[in-house]
Amino acid sequence: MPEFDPRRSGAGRAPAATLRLAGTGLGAALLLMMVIAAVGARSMLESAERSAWVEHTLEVLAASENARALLNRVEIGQREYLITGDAWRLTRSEILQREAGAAISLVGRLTAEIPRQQERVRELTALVVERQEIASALIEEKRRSGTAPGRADVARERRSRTVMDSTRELLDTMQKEERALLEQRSADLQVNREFALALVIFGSVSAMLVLLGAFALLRREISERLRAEAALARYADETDDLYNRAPCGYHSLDARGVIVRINDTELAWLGYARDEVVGKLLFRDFLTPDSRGVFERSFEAQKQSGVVPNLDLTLVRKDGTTLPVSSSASVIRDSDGRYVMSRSTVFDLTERSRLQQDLDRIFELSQDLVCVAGADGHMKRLSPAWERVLGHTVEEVIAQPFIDLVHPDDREATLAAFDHQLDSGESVISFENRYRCKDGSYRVLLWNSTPVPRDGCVYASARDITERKRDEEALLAAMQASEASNHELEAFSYSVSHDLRAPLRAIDGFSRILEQDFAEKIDAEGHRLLGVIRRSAQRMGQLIDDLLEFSRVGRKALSRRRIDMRAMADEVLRELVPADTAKQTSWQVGSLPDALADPALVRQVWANLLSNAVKFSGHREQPRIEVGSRNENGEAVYFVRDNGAGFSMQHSNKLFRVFQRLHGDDEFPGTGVGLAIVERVVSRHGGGAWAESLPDGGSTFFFTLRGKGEADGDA
Amino acid sequence: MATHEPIEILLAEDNSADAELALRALRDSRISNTVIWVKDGNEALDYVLRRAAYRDRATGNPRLVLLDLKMPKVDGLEVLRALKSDESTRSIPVVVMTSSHEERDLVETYRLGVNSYIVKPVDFEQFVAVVASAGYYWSVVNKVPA
Repeated sequence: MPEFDPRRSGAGRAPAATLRLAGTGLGAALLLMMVIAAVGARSMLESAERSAWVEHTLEVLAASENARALLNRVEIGQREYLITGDAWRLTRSEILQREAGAAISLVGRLTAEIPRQQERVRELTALVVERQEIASALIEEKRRSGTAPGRADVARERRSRTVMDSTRELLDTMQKEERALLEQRSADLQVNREFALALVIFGSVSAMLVLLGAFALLRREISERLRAEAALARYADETDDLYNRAPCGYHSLDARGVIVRINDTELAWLGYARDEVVGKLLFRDFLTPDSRGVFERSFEAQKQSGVVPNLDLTLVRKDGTTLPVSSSASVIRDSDGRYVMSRSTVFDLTERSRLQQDLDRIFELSQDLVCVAGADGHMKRLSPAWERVLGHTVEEVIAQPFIDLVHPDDREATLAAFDHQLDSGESVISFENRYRCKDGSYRVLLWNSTPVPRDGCVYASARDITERKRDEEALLAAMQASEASNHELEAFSYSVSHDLRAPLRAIDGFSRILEQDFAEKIDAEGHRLLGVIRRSAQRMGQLIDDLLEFSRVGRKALSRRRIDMRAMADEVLRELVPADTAKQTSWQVGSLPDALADPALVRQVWANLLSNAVKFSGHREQPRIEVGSRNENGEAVYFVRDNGAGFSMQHSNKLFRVFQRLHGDDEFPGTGVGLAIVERVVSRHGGGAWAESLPDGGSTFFFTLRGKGEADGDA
Repeated sequence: MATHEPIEILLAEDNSADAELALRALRDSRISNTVIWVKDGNEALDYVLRRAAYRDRATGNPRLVLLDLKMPKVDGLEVLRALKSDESTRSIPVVVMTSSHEERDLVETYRLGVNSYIVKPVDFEQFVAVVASAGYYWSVVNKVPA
């Protein structure tokens, strides 16, 4: 979902400007319509006026025509009277005369506003009066004379006709004037109507265009607003979603502490439905009594200060179980600074509490002396092991600079190490010093510590190595003693070899000189006895040599190298079996894996085993020696087999002991050291030696050499 | 052989029995007509360096020194060190004859420049053979700077 920023709606132009523009457009359109309406109205009024004028003019024309007709009939009637003398004619003329007067005065009323016509009406009236006077005079004459008019009457009659003609002319002029006026007014009206029409059309089109523009603007604005509203709705949905599904709890409290809003997460923690809680329950209802106290105090303070730092609280769920949380809140106020509600964030501390518990246990249960030391040289926190090992209470240790507890001789080094690690940030590994116990004795502590210079503290753990140290010292003393005794032994061996051999050499040498220089004076028995002396001396010399060799094998430092065992066995055999007897002794060397061992010592093993084989099979007509190997559990087992004298297995336990022999010296000469040397060499290599044999059935001697690569190269 | 120039061998040996056997071996093998037997290291050095009792002896180095290692006062190693560190005596062949085959003696004597290291056998015949062959080789066959 693309990110939405409600501030960006309105696509470039500020909505206010758009609205202003649309408003201006609408205003202009309105004004135009008003103008059009005014023009229209005026046009209508003018049209009505024109109609009135036309009617009026027609009335004037009709009235004047009527007046003309009446006047004619009056004149005709009077004339007929004059001719006939019929009175009724005269009467009718008098009636018509009055009607004509009424018609003329009607014309006068109708043309009241036109001075020229009024003038004419007056002239007309005057002409009518003049003619009437003439007519009256004539009629009087008639009545009096009862005859046709005389000469004077003819003049009067002529005059009457002239007046009558003037009257008619005047009426014509008036009618003509009225008609001209009508035409004039109609033309004026036409011009006005066309102008009004043009104005209305132009105004309407303009107003329509302006309206269309305003409409387009409004439409765009509206669609943008709709879009913005949709986006806002989406945004609101998303915010709602975030609010509700946040990994932490949110709630808002009113001034009384009633929950007015709460998110799904916190509801789920508590196990309640929203409508059970919102507006109904107080937040304090969800707290354990202890937490309630903590909360109430901070809630009051919070209303004043506006913020609440992290509070560790314990919530009680619907099912009665508890949940450790950390809550922080901020207060929302209205514009007058009055409390509206507080908004809180709640974090689940279950995992943290468990970790904390583990950490505490590690700390509390540690056998080592764990501590946190501050840069001020005081311990800040100590594990209970301190009290157990040193006897001081934790408070006692914390109360004094820790250096006071360090042995005076160790203080300088301790402080140097402490300061260095705070300066450098480097850990100190295996630092040793002594701490004073409650009883005044000292314990040796072996320290590993890591500084956190930023926090100005050092995390350290120490192990009480007093006993180990004591053991080490004892071991060292024992080793020194052992070394001393080894030296003694060496000195002893040296003097044995030197001092014991010299007399033996003298015994042998002088016996020999006796044999040589006094040969005639000594009889056969004397020579035999001298021979016994010499053999004994030589045998003792051999014993001493072997014993020294045995001792040397035990003392020599091992230097392991890869050994081609087959080549070595082969070489030793060739040296042991003289060329002339090789024909009689049949021997074969099978495949032997290489060994990683001390070549000089292993050579000694081969020499001793093979010389034994040669020696003990020497009596056989067909001496046979076989050298081989086999693999037992991945370990190379070498063996030397002969078909010689053999021995009883019940004595096999003595085989590898020094000076132990299973055969008499007369039968098979030897000192009984060879196999003891073999055993010592292989056991020094971590291997072993053993034998299988039957009396007179030959023997097989086995040995192993434990060492890397010994099973390799099985070629 | 008496007409030949004397072949002088110095035998340093505190054990008189060993010394007698060695002298007999040298005599029987007819290598030397002059064997000077001294019983400790100090006397050996006195002889070679013409000191003390030997102050007046004729000049010249012995043809061979047979040297026992374990001797009272000054032991064989010290004698060897003294002879081999002195320009005038360095060329004298020194054969160490000892009763024991001690690795560290062997190493030390070779480090000091011994010419030969012999373990005296208990068996008399072997002893004679060893002494005679060593004496013969070093005093007759071997040539040293004059």
